[in-house]
Amino acid sequence: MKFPFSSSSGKKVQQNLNNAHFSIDYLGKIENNLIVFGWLFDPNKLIVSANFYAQNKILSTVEIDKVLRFEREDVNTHFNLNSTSEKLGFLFQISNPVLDEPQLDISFSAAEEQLDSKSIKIQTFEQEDFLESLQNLTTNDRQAIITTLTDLKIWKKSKPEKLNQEKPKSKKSKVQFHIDNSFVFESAIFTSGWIADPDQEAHLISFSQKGKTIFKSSIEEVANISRTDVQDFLRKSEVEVPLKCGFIKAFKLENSIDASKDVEIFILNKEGEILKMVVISSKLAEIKNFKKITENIFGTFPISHEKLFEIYDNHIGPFFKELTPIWKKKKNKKVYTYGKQNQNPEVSLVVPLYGRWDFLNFQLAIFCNDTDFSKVELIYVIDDPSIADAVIGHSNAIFPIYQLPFKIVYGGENFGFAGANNLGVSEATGKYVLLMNSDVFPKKQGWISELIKQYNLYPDAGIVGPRLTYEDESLQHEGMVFEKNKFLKGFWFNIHPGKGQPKWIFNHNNTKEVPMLTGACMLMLKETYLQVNGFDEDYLQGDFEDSDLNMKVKELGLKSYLAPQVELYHLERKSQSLFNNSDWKLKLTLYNAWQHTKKWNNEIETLNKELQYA
Amino acid sequence: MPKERILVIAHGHPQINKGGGEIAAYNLFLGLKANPQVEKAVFIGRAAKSEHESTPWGQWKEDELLFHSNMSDFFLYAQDNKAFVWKEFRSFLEAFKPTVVHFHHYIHLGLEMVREVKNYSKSTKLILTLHEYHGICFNSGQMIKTGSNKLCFKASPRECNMCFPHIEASKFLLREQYIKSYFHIVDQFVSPSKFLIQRYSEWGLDSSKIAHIENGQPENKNLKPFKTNNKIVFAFFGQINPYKGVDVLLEAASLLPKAVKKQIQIQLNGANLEHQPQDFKEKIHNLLKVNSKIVINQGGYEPNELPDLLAQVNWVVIPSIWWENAPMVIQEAFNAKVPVLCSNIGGMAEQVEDGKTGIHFRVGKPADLANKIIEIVENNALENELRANIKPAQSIESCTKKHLELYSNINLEA
Repeated sequence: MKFPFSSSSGKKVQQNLNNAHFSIDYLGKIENNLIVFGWLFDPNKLIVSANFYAQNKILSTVEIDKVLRFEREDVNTHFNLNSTSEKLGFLFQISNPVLDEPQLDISFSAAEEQLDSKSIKIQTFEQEDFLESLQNLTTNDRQAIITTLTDLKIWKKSKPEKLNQEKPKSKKSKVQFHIDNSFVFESAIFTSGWIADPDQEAHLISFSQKGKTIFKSSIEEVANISRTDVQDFLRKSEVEVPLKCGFIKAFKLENSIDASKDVEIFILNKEGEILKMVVISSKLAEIKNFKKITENIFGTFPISHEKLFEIYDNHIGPFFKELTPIWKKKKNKKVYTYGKQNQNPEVSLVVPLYGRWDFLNFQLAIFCNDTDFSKVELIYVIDDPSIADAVIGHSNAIFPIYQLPFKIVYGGENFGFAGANNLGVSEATGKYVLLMNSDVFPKKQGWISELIKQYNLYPDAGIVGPRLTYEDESLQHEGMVFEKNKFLKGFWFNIHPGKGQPKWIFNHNNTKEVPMLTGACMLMLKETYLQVNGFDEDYLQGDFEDSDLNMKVKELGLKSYLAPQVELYHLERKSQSLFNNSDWKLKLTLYNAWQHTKKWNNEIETLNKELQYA
Repeated sequence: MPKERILVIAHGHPQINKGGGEIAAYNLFLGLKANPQVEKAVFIGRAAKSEHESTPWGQWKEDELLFHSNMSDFFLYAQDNKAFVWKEFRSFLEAFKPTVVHFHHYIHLGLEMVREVKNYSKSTKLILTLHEYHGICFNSGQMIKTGSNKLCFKASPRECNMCFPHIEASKFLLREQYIKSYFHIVDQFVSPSKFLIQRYSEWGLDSSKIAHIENGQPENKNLKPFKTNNKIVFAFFGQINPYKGVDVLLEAASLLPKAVKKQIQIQLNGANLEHQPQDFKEKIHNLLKVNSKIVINQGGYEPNELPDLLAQVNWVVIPSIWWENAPMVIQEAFNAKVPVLCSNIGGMAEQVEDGKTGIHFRVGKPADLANKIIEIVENNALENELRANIKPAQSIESCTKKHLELYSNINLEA
């Protein structure tokens, strides 16, 4: 029987051996024996042997036919096998293993292929522990195992069989429950899949690890996702399910768990009986890989979902927040200086470089004619390991041409807009910091002095920014405002009014307060920057950290001022998404938008009432 | 009179797309800009490409803007990205606050843009200049039948379905009603020819709402003396495509007696032969070969070269097989005082008076065209006679004044 493994992104899981699966529930060592207990689902009967490895060397091979098999009703239920002639459980014992390792790699093989092996820690055999792992078995199965172990002189009859009175009974039901995607982290879990519940028996969903419940909630508290593929699949067995039988459930855990161990998911009815059980594993490696896990998770829901904000608010958001610390890269700062740096500079100009670094050359050529730069500390931040060597090398070659001193700061990784600017400012010694994109170019000399002058004309100025135009002189930025979008409800978005329109359209000729200024070019006191802890690096990759900074500065009682008399070009290119996947990029942007909205919703509503743009 | 703030919107900027409609729109904009009654005039030309992230807007000059727009649905003239209309276009209207918005076409922009002006403000005057017969005819607005290229005199759902068998007649009815629902909110139409007014009126537009104003042309300040090189030069200007009837002209050339051939030269000035369908290309190449002694293909030309080219021409030939509206080449010929030999239909027959400012021949008939050429060759005096009757085309200034008068006469309460 095949499961529709696909999620909204339509990925299919491939197995070498036609959907064979296995699990090791217990691996224990006692005296001179290794006890291996678990189950193997091999519908095509291809598996021939079980193989044990330690340190890539074969320790032992056991023919599958020679192994004790018994019924595992819990596993039968999981795979929807109604006929109980299947004996999916196994128990074997390896005598006198030569073993120094704390863990073994176990796998099953057919004539020419092998399933992916699993690495299992070896426990010291404790009857109590072992009994726990027999919890989900029927009494008969449990007895069969104990008898075998007794015969092997492993089991001590003296201890009475302890039945865990708390363990809920399994109940046969029509509920079908399947997990397509799951990630187990020590402080959060993400699952997505589908549930078919024609008689509406399901009441609770419960997560447990090693028999202990770690999270419980009503079955209603999930995000419902349309799954036409599941509908079609179930119709073949004449089961009708609603279109929105898919779900996403993600949550933060109250207490930390062992992320290397499996987690069981139970669907319980009102009486607390188990209707369904599924086991999920952690996949820590994938969790640490930002690209992989975000691609996976973003594939579980469509951008057109009518409760998109809730999906972020209830599931994606809390889950990502827990993972953010492990995605943060460490900054190994290296500083390169070119020329004799200006003593006591008034302004530190910080410019991150990513991808197109040839902008550096154009900026130096334009800057070097500007006498303002005698009081400027010019700091470039390399935010892209793939260009680091080229930039450093090239700077050696061109510095003598322009004779304009500058510094390069390199952190060893790509940190994103927030991290790169913070890194640059950490090397800044000026009174002001002027943050600028590499694709921004001044039109006139003396623009920095003019910006500082405007800044000082307004004692309540927190940030000052210039007007930015495209190469055709049409507006690129003249302040930003917050707006909601009728297609993506619930999120506040930043927009640039008048983008692409002619400069004269708003008739802004003098410095004026605006709701927000773009991070593409902003001037502020370094003191203020540090007071608000710079840019918030919880915004992933890029987007919203500049408006977040504006809002933090407003909290200090300061304002954002646009100085349209100062004009620069911003040659904003059509964005090339990092992963050539605009759906992924949009969903990542929405995560940042969600964070931003959560943090500032009330302040934004007030701001929109109090400050009109035009 | 209070001063006007005017938007002129065209389906292209003539510096990027050199078409008659674009040039006419742009000339009107230049005229309005120079007129003291106008507070500010802005030209918006549709651009096929967008240079900027997340905005369709761009700039050619500070008062000549570009608007990126695609209209994949030619049947309903439907804009691909509706949000560009009610968000981007609208935000500009709200900032610029026009008193008059004058569309010179909705093709590539979509009809929705037209309605958005009234969504923005009912008191902004909305004008549409009609070019070709687009609202009426799905065959590129030409009103000729597909396949046979026969002239079409009136559209109807059944007849249109005969031209496009894969589109149901009922769909053509819906198309007509849909387009008319947009035309309904236009305050004033303009047409450069009376013929076109008649066609639209037969289609159901109120002819009193369509003003006849000829396109303005820049003056030909350097009227060159005519250079006669002993041969009578008949020149064609325009795209070398089947609708312009170049094949009719070349076939007529083949029919001429030797004695006449010796006295004439036929000039082809135009581009785009390479882009035509294979069979047409072959036909033209063969005809060119056969008539190589009297036909020269001079290739394309820039508009500013026209006065010089026309100075060496005795007759301009316009053998179009479709109705035409107000071909610019007639105005250019008249500005250079060159008489016109043209098909006897539509806008051509309207603008060229047979026997006064030019000669008509039966549309699509090479034999009749050949006869007319023979008549011209045998009657030396005819050319100068007609030349004396030719008046220059309307100037841009005059065209502009007429438009401004039209704008001020629009009564919105009506």
